[in-house]
Amino acid sequence: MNTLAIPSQIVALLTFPGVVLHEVVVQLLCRRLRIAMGHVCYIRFGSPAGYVIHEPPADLCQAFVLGLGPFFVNSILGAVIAFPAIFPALEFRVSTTGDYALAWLGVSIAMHAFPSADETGELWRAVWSPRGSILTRLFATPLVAFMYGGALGRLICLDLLYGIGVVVLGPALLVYTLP
Amino acid sequence: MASASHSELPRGTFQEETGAQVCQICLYASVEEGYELPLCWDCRRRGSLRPLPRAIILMCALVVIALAYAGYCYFETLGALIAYQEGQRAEKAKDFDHAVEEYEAVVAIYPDSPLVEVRLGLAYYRGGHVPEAIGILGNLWGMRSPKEVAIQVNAVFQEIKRRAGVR
Repeated sequence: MNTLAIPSQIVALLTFPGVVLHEVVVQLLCRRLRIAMGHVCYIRFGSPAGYVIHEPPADLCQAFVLGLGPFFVNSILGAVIAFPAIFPALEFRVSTTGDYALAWLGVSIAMHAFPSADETGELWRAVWSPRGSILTRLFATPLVAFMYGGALGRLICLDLLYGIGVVVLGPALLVYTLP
Repeated sequence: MASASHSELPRGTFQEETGAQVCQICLYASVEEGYELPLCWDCRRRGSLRPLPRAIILMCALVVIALAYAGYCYFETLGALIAYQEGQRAEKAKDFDHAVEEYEAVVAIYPDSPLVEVRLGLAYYRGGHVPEAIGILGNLWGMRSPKEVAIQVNAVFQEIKRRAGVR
């Protein structure tokens, strides 16, 4: 397990903006939702690369916002930042140093969209607690399972594939759907 | 019988004796409802308002600058895309002068794109502006261009040679 975990730690350091941004988003959401925090680690050489220790969310809504908020923020931000760099490369076969920098930043941010296994576990417990209705469980379980898959996939660099996929998908769709 | 004063009581005794919850940080005898961790309103507010370190604020500012730069590039990228589409449409409609205009707009944004240059050169050639076409397509000659670009440039030069009777 450790042998597999080492490359992911190096990858996390090389893509540090995404790790830091993920923790900043969690921290800002905690601030917005009035959830007390104990300790915030923005980046470190370890697994997970960053974390926020906070009290358990008060309700299911808070658990969802805290669990899924960073996922959507990182994914959308990564895709938006990388678009002007990826699109010309696909459509016009042209790329500059600035484009490479934007693409690296976009992939870095998007690949750290997934919450850690601990955060996903928290969300899973909230969904399956007595507070969660059957309808909530029905809709939330596949989403949380997807998050779990992403969190565990980090061990085999699936997060990197996700990051690349997110930044390439939008421009590629645009290129191949246009006449 | 001497009773112990409130300050002498060990922590937690008040909670155990009265059954009321106290704040885990300041021991204030009123905690917010609905949370698992018993904290008073003020301690929870302070706990949630943890400040961001200066280095992290700086990094976030750099990300915001990158986002602004990406936003600025959006206009150019979308402008180039629209002009390229318009140029292709004009080429299909055999309106080569309009196609040249559109492709020139794209070349102004992406001057190093061999794909756009070849389209511009072809539009010039098909519009009857052979010297301009040779000037542009000649620049692509010998460059490491994508295969489809090289094929189209070669085809045009073969045609020019055939028309001129050059072997």
